[in-house]
Amino acid sequence: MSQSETNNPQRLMKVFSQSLAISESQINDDLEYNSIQQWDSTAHMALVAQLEAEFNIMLDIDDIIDMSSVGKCKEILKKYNVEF
Amino acid sequence: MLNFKLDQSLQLGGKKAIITGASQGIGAAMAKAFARAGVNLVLIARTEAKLQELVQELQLIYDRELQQNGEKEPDDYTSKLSFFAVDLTDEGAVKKIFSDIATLGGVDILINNAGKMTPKPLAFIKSEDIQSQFEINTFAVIRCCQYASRLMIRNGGGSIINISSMLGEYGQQGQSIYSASKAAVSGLTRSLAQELASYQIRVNSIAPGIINTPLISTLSNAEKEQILARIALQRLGKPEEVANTCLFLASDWSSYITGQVIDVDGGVHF
Repeated sequence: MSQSETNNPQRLMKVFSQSLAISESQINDDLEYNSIQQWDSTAHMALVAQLEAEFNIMLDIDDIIDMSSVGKCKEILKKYNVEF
Repeated sequence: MLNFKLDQSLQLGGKKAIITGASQGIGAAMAKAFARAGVNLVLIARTEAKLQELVQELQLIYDRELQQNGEKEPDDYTSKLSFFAVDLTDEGAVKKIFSDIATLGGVDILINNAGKMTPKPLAFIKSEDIQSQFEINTFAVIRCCQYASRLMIRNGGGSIINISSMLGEYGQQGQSIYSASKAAVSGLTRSLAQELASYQIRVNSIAPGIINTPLISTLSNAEKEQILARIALQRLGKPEEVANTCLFLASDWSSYITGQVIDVDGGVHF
């Protein structure tokens, strides 16, 4: 596993924390879209923008719609060669 | 044409704008106006040869601008000017363009100008006529807004300008599908303005009237005369007059304007 891959979980944590304005302690694979007030459709778009910037990718619309939890987000990012 | 001082006071220099349907007519006029204002451009159109012709004209404009600022001409224009010859109905190609733009630092201004007009009476409209006009006039606009807005969020905001049409506001005999596809753009504009405001992205639309462009050649003389009779200024509009409105909406001069459809039609009355 490369150095950047080792850092990917931390980078993802930072993106979620900043775009949803929540503490890192609140973030785990089971955290779901719309399960907390901060992860609404507005924040989801900011999250997508930050994910794309952080990992230098452009997500498909279907993947944006499917990104229903942190765990699911990791699965989707693997399709874009972002390993965890 | 705006004078040099006015172009500079728009404070758009160094911003990056995407213009679709850029190779001719209103799109080309916009590209020239934005180049004079020092904006870095990404031009999109179907025909590469026409884009290359325009790019040569734009390089001269950039050179003139730099000379007036006492700066040296660049060795190449890749940071100021790039173009993509693609069909905007090709979803994969659109995504690829925006991926490339992301690596170039994103975008501040999106002008959805590409359009298609196929006038036909209702009885003669085929499914493909509906599909082809909505694909470019409406669906491609939505896709470009989706991708561009994500890049604008990264940069802390931006301005989206959708080129609608007078026909989308008032309608016209034989133009039902074109009118419907452009009316959809007005609805899209008003809704996206609400949805994207929190990201500091303004979304506005320009509804040009009869502008002297190649697209107008598809109208019959009878249709043109019928419309001219209803224009208060009694003349066709110039592409530059739409481009100037576009500059205004792209700049901070319009910083408190969003969700508006601005008619640039010489005072059409029905």
